[in-house]
Amino acid sequence: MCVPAGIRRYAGILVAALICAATAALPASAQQTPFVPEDFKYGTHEDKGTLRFCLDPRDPEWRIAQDIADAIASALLLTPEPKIVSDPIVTAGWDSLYRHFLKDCDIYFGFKLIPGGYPRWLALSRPYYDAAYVLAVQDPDWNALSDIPLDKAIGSAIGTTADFAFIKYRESMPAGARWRRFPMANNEAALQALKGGTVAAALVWGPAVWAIQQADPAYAGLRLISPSPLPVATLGVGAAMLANETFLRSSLDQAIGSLAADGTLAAILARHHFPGTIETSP
Amino acid sequence: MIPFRLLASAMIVTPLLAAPLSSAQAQDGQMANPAEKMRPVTDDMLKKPDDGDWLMWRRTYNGWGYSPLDQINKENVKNLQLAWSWSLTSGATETTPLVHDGVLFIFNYGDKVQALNAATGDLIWEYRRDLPEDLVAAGGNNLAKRNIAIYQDKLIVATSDAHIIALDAKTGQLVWDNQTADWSKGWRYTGGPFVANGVIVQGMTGCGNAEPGGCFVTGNDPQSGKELWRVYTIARPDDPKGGDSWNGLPLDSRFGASAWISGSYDPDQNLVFQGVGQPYPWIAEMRGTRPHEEGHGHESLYSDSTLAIDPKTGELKWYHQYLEDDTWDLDYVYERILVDLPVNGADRKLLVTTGKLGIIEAIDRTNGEWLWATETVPQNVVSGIDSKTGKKTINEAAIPHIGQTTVNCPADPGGRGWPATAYSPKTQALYLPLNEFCSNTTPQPLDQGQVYTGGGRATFARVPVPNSDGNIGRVDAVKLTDQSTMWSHRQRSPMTSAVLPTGGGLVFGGSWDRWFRAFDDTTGDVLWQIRTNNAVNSFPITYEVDGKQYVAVAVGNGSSAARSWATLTPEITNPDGGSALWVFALPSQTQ
Repeated sequence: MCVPAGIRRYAGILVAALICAATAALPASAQQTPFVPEDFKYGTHEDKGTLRFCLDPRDPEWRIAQDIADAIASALLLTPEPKIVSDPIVTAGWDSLYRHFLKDCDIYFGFKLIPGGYPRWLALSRPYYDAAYVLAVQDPDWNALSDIPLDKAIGSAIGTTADFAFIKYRESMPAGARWRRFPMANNEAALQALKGGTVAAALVWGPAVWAIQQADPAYAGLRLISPSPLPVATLGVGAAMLANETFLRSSLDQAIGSLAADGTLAAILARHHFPGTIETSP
Repeated sequence: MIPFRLLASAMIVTPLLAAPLSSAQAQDGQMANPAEKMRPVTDDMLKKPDDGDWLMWRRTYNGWGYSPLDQINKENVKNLQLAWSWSLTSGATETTPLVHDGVLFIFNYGDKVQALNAATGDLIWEYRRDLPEDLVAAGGNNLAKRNIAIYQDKLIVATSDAHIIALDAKTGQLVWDNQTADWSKGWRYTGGPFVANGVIVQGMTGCGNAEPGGCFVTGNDPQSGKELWRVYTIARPDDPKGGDSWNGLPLDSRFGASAWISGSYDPDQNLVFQGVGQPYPWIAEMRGTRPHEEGHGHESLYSDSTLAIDPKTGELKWYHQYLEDDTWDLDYVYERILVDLPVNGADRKLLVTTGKLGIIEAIDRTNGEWLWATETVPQNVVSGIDSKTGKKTINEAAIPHIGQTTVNCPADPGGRGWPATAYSPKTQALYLPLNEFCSNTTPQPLDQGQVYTGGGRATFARVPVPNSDGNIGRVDAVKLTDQSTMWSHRQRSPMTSAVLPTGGGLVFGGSWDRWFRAFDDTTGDVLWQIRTNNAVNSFPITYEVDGKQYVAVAVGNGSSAARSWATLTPEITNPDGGSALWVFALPSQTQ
């Protein structure tokens, strides 16, 4: 298949042919797309004037993404065609994501805009909101990381951008005079360790606290304190798509920009009491 | 499950053809069903298999991967030709056929198991596992298995949905099915089982950040499938041997140590030797074992170790760790070769293994004492090895750090990967399929999406070794008596299959460029080669039926390791589909 479906749908034959030529000029090795035996089985999506997007209920923020996706579809004058992903496996690799692009959707919501964090065959939209990593504690006397005694353990969701900053900061402290860092499997595990007393604080993605407090009243008492002396780590969240969907990406970015400027995205976050911010500059 | 007898159904639908074809078919062996006369596989057979059989992953408990068959030899191998072939399910092959009493068993990608007439390639039965739709949809390398096992009247299979099952070896009927773990939590099998002293031994893999506490090895009853014991490959905090080896981290912060390759067994000691892979995440700074905390060990036991396990009780007798606190994804999980050879003038019972670093290491398999090491491919991770203890000095410049790009050789798929080395008693040499390359390693965050991490523990930008002549693939022959290199065959294409030495003085092996070759075991000269239809990416075997020797090898695309090696040879491309089993033999007049 030379002409990507999304490009065909949005831009017509001439633009598609130009982009196809540009894509074909890239060496195959540079793309490093996942291996899919018998990819013909996935076929080609028929153009129905729809915006096909994947939403993943494993992502606690997926309801927010759903509202944003509907708003984007409306802005593009397309009919929203959501695919609610039902994969049960708790973690997945890029291969699985690639198959969803072949089979289910052109856009997959819920990815952090981490520089250099994606393979070349993937592209990310501009962020539809920003959110911060936070430091959650139960102790009422602590207002910043610097208030936490150095003999305490900090539970950190493993390998996040904020965790990387914490790791580097710890390494700048003398041995024997730095907090212990317990890397936890994910945000939820870090918050559970905080609740269970294994760690004194949890360094996690802010929306994860919002999600767990909504799901379980036992977490209502968690306090968010300043990560100082660590800087506040903020990341944009956007939608992923195949890198050759250049026209789709451009259209999506324009729609997100419009929805940010007219207050639609901010209204969605407010409706969900969601701890995110909207970037309104173009 | 769809077990059936092809021959019976063929006779029903083509009754008019059956009679006139019967004599010819009988002559070709097509009408005979060797499974009907197949003998149960006993413990004694596993200890000393018939020369013509291939009863376990590396053929014998000692892990040699060697066959004494010598009908195909240095003089006549030039006449080797295709005897029959069989299409396999498209996808990664990585498989090892088993052969017993003229029946060849093979695991296909996606958990299809077949029994074939080993002389003709005719299907005897087929078992298709009813895998969860989401598991199949996820695809990938996880639907391949490197080996299966045969014991008594049963074929033992580790499935992609983390079960161990037994099939009736004669019919393919499911006998029992035992779930070990929940595949949706990330547990999976990619290696296969073996049976030691009447117990099925199977290693678990997929123990990433969704599985705190890491992986394990199980022992199961072959009659019922019931799990008898479980040995954790990550030391628990209260473990007196290795509990305090994780830099003071609690169990919930210890990840990895997959046991994704089958082990070896020493019947004299009643000890199983199981390899264990690296800790997760790959970068030590991320998993919290660097920087080192005073008062705590930081070896990350039992990663990158040999575990000596009593298969009857599951007791961990001893361990030997080869690489402390691995931070490069450089497993020491591969085959354990058991061989008795002199060391410094004294006879020793060796256990020889080679990790991704390409360093061949020998320990005493009675107690884990380190004996010697010798290097093969270029590497810059280990700058020194203590000649008495084997303790390695690490090149600090090769240690990855967050916010930096460092160079390590070899790269993450390894100077050697899962394609197994093999030992020939004829030459006392270890034969190794190797690849030369390095990596520019940059740690990356893990939480791009809530679920999709991309395995992004680090970005490994693979590059040639410094001053490379362009050759990536190698086959080395190293004399284990003095660790001298007998020969080294070098080639552009990565080596992607295990090697197979035989009594005929040959070493078979294959590569990413679809060539399957026979080397002279003493000189490395290429004596025969054939271009197959896809990457030679599995464990070749040889066997004998009715006095005729065959060589079998599976080919196919999709193995993540092979595709990683191939990133440095982008000019070599292979078809996406077309996995197949190729079986070779000599023409009758040249035997």
